[in-house]
Amino acid sequence: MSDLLSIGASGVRAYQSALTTTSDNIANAGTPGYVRRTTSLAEIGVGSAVQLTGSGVTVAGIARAADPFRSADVRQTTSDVSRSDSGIVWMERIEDALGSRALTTRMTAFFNAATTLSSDPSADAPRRAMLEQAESVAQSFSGTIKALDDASTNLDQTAVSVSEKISNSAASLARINDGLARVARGSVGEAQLLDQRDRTLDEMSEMIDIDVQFDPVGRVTVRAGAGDNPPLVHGITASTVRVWRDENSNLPVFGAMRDGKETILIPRGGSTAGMVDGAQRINDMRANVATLAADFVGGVNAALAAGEDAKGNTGLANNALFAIDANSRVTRVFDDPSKIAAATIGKGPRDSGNLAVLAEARRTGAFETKVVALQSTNGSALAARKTVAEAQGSIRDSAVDMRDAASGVNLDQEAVNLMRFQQAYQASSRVIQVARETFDAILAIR
Amino acid sequence: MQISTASFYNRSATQMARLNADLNRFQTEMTTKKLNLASQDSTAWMMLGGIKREEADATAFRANITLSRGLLAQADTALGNVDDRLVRVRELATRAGSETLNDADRTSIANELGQLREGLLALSNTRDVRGHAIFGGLGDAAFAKDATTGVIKYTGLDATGAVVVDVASTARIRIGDASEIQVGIDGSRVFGGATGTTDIFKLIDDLEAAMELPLTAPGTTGTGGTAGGTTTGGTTGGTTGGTTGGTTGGTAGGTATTDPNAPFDAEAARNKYALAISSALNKLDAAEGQIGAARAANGARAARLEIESSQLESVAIDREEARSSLEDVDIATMTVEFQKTLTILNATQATISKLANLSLFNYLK
Repeated sequence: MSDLLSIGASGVRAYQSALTTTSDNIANAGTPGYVRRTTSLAEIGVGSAVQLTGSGVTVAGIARAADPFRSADVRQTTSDVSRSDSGIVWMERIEDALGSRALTTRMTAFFNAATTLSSDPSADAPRRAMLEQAESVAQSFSGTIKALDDASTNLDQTAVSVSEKISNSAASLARINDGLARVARGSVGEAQLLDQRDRTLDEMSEMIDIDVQFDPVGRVTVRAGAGDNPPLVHGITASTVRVWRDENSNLPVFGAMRDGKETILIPRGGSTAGMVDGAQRINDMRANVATLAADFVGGVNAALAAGEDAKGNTGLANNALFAIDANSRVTRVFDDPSKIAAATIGKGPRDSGNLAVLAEARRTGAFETKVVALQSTNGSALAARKTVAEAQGSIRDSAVDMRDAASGVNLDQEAVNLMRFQQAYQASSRVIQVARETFDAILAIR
Repeated sequence: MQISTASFYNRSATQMARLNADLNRFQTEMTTKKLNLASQDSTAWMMLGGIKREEADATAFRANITLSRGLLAQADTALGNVDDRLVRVRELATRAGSETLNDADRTSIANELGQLREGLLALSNTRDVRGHAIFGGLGDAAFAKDATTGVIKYTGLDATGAVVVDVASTARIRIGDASEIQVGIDGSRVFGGATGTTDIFKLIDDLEAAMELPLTAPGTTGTGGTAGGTTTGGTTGGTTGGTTGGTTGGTAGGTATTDPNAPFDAEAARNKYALAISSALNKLDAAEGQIGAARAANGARAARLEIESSQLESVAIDREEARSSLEDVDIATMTVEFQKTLTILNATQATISKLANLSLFNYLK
């Protein structure tokens, strides 16, 4: 009869544990990275050849409903979409830089101020209006260049913070590897470590494309980027990642330091790859805008140098309206309205002949059209990238859905489990009661 | 496939966020325009850039055309005033030609001529709304009166006929990408001074001098006739800006070296007087021709402005149509789209709240 009692007791213990696991699932239904757990139950086997009855149930361990293939799929698609998304961020910065300073409208306004000036070249007001427009164009050029420079600086800061995050993730993976070596198989501790490991790998794949290998106890070896690099994480050692700008190409370069040796990482996915793409685009666009600014300044100055201002002065030294420095910052040179060279040389202050030369410089330079073309080029690239990102996003979403279908918590299912385990628990308790009553019956015999 | 509770909520949130973003975009586009960023439609953006630049250019050109129209009208008014005065000069000259005038009448005619001359000087230096001399080209003033001799001369040329101030080339205003319009008038071709033109001021001076010719024996010495016999053959009032080409005849002025003791030859004096009057009338024909030609040229320019202006307008209509098709919202379609999205969002919200209520836990008692 003591068998009956111990069988009942083992059932109560097992279902208590199963109820706890179910409650744990319910409580963590919303926790990111939490993988549904189940209590594995096993019959206590004695293996005796003569024994006629069983000996109850025991908890074999806590099982995780993880699916390594789907998790790998999620990591891969995350890297892809994250590269596109991160590239989009920088292209949007470029679009904003080119658009928000209203460079085209201001240039047009400047040239139209010259048209207005042609109606009354000797008057002060239209000259002042043109000077104001000149100032506004200069600011617009400088503002555009500055916005692109700011985007570059911002990208550098982001790259530094991302490389620190990669280092941190690598370090915590190394610690998790260490923990996994020591934790008991099938324990809650192991399940927690594995959850944390998968979460960290997901985070890492958002930043850089990774290749992960698992050993039998779940420890990982992580390689990042293209090529046969030394692993970022192996056993309990982790690399540190830093970023710097290459002197020649002026692009961000990521390096992994391990055992005093630094190797270059070439990211093919994740936000780091998007940053390299973005930096390339920002560099190109800055060079284009700088060339355009230099052309504009050169064209306008040459046109004005061909004329005579209201005081009869001529030449580049007197009448150059704009200046451009080594950093492509454009400034207006003079603030004396009479210095605008509107007249053909020798015709006096009432002539407007040179403004036709300026209009011709505008036509041949096609400055406004060039800015619009730059906006358009970036715009079409951005639109294409957004379409790609959208497609990659839905691929990632379905990969996540597939993974979560296997490893996520469904509350209805847990409710069913809760009832099931509760009934089993109550039944086991009843077994104990029956055992006691049976004892009582035996003891009552006299 | 089993749906985990967390991913059910995540997906619902994503769906609603997307619908909300759509609604927000529709709302922005409906209240502003559909093309706000290059990435929305880069080809249209490129076209739109050109259209907007042309639009801004057209605005500037239109302002210049309006101003030019005013300036040309002012020049026309000034020329009309000059014409009126010349008509008065003709009246006076004709009256002076009649035989019945006495000396007092002639003096009063001379006085009025002097006034008309001053008036014409003021007109020749008329300024437009910008403060530029209409007949002065790029210079400050077209005609100046010599302080000592009182002679009115064109300031553009010196005594030898060389150009001192560029009064002849007149200011031009840009009214199109490649077109300019001349708004000033060369004063030397209107009032005289350029080769082959009749000098209006000299004409009046001569006429005024003729009024002082003695016609009866005063007992004084006869002054020499200074009036040169000038015949001017000019085309009168070309309608399309014809040039006033006058051939100046010989200035055979009869300088009468009269003998103080000789008897006063009334016949000769009357002849000389009549010659001076008829010469003045002939020159007036030429002068009026000059004015007429200048007015015609001015009118032709104004007509060109009208053509340019209406061309700008018609191009603007085409451009506006193109712009509108590129960036304006089709309100009807957009409203339907908006309503559709709104209905879908409502339905999504309703389904989600219904589904979220469906939990087995609600039935565990």
